Amino acid sequence: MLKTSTATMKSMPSALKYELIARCSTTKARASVLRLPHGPVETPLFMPVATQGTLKGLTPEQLESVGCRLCLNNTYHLGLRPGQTVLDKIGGAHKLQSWNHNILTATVTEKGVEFLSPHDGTPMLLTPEHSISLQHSIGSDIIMQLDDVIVTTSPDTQRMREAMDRSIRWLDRCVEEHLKMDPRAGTEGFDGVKGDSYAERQNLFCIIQGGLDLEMRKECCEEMVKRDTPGIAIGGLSGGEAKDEYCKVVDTCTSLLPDGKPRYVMGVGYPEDLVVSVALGADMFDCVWGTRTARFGNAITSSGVLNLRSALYAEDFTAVDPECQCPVCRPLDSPAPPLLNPTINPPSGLGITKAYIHHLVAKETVGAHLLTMHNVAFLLSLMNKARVAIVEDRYPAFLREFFFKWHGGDKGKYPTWAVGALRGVGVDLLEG
Amino acid sequence: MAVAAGSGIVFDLQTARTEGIPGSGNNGRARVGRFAAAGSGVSFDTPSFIAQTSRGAVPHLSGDNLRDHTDVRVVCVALEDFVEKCHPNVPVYNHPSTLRNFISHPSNSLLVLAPRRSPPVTTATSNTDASIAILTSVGFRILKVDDYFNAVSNLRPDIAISPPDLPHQKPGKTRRPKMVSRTELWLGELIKRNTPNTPIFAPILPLDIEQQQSYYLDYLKEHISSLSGLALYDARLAIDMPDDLKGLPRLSLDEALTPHKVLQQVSWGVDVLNPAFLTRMTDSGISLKFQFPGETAGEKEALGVDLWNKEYGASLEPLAMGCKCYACRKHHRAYVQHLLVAKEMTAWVLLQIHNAKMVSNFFAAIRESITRGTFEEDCKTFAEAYAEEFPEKTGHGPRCHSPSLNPQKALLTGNRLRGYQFKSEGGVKKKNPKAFNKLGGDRRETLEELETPPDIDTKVLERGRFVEISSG
Repeated sequence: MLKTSTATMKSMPSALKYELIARCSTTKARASVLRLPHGPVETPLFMPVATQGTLKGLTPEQLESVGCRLCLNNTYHLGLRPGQTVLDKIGGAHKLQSWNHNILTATVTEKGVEFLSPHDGTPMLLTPEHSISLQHSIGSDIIMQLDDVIVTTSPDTQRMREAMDRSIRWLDRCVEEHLKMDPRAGTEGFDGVKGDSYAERQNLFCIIQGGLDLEMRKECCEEMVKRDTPGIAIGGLSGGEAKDEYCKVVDTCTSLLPDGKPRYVMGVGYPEDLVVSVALGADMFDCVWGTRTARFGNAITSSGVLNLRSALYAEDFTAVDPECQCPVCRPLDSPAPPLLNPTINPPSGLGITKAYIHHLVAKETVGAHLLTMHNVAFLLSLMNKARVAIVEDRYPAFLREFFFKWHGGDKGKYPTWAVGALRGVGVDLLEG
Repeated sequence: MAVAAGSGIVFDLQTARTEGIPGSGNNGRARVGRFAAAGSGVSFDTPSFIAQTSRGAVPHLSGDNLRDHTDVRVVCVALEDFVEKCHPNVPVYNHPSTLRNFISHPSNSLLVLAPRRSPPVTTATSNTDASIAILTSVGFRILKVDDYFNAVSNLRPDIAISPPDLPHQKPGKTRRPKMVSRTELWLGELIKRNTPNTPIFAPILPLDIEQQQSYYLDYLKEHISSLSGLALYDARLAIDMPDDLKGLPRLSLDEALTPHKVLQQVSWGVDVLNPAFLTRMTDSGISLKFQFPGETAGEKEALGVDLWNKEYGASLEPLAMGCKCYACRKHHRAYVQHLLVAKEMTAWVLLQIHNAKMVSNFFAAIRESITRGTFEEDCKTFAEAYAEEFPEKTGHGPRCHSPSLNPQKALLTGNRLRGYQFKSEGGVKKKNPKAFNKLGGDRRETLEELETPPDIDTKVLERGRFVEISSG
């Protein structure tokens, strides 16, 4: 274990501003405005995953129209395709996909850090320096350190510690690379004055590792907080671990993290997980589940996940989710509600029914487009509703209402991990 | 001359007057008109185009993109896309409202209902007096004409095409009159049962006009007040339409495979066309870039740009210079290429938006040219300015791994992709390599193969074992 004293740390510039707006008086939930280089976003926040520079089947305009202001790209995928040379030529991922809002780049690699390109078989070595340099070419607003992820369920504590130590060492190398002067700063077409470092335009987030071992997580938090990155991610979770273990890790980490920085739990996006994690003090989330499940015909609604491929919905002529305000669910031609920081006029409603999705799904790609749009809109709006509830200091009531609807009013179906985790932060789901 | 045929369609033919005027530059058949559907408030100028749908959706375009980013004003929906189940369980029949409502169709375009897609996939069985053989997503089925008539009454499309009797193979001497008489019979029945006054288009069969002349065309003239238009299954027949039927708008379901073929159909006097190359080029990753009439400058220009071409990998140019479509205003060739290579669905969404815009621009220019009286001349310019065919498809389609070997053939019939949108004909080999195989399965397969008689090509059989069949 390497212990570093705070004194030896370089001071880290930040290209974001975190403004805490409200705090739940019961749980650890918080609401904030996060000011990023491409405009403000509000937390709690769900970030849709546009792995290869597009959210499956949606145009960037459609993604904007459902209220997304920060989406993910994958460093590894964009590094392979279109590749760093092309990205440099085009001028980054924002220009590649004509997306004028924020981008966060994660580095989900397949196996370890040295791998063969699945496209042409050439070996690609992702070092911390290379990863950061790639993310500089991508130009994302939030960039992630390269970390050593192993499955949390791994029984090998030795290997877990090694991964954690390595992640801390890699963070230092990432910081070093990130603090370099940007040769493009001050030139035409680039913001910033000559001599600016990348760190003044892009925000590096560290990633807390340590598996399910709370002591190791604590140690990692302590070390990484010292590095003073603009934001902090909790990584290595949602890999099949028991949900109560997951909650303990999030709870432990958020208690150790500074108040003034955004906390991002990676890979979480199932509605129940989201609302519980918010109660445990997390701010940002991403997950491919919502968009992937859409392509299999599953609609996320306030009354749970509906498999619209089922014959049950063949003649269900109601909206996908009658409570949803997204373009797919709103009645045909009805006007859109106002959006935060828009660059387009959002489309009026389409009035799509469950029966029509049933008719299309798995047979026409348009079915996938529509359901993807709805599911993303649902998750974004779920976090937005959570935010409003936190601001109005009624988050516990919001949680109770959410779980009640999600399980069709059957409290017997509430997952014990959620009941337990929320009890830990002062909310009894089963009461009342 | 305006025709308001007892229903919601008003067709105002504007260039009938230029006909025959010497030196007008038009051969007198190309015509400009205005097509208006009173009920829905949708109107558009002709010549224009109809977009084919698959299961109620224009391929790749969700309703918002279709409505907000294209100028598609009329789409064709096939009932065969909706009737997989047995009658009482067909959702669209049990839907309390209209077809438009069932598919949430945008209000700025018209819905034409037809029994089958165009072109229809050849079925295993033939039609009968009371039924049409169709292909649904679960296989070949029959559609009772009765059910189609009921669907027209209940689903209230903006326009219904009366069912044509199209045989599943080339019709012989006796089949041809039967086609005509059945088509007439069904049209009569549809007119009789059309209580909600849905505008009806009468089919014109892909037979010589003489064969439809005696009874059928006379029948159409007699019932012209019940008709709102003609649906041509062979565009050439527009030339032969009798004067009495001239005022009816002509919708051609005969696929135009290149813009040159579009011009040809327009010159025959077709009003609404089926530019089948639109979705095909989109699927091929080719963005359209022709303009009418174009400029003749030495070498012939290509009709489209193959965005799979590595050359465009870092190109920040729009798909076509000067294009005002959403894809060109906001995006560039490099992005579309990136999406194509990454097999992301958005590639085809952007291409379809762009290509649909190019097609509507093309038709706008055609209308101007006819109105100006320079259509014939402009067609010649276009023929000189642009290549005859689209560039070869080099990339992968949305559902196909291997590029087509013979693009010429691919465009016509051969290389239809599998998957519902691209219906397969019998005998087509699988396009994608098998992803999963039996564990150590090779040995077992050879054993199985031995047990079954070897496949012999029909040609070999013909040559070797049978008496040669003369082609007559």
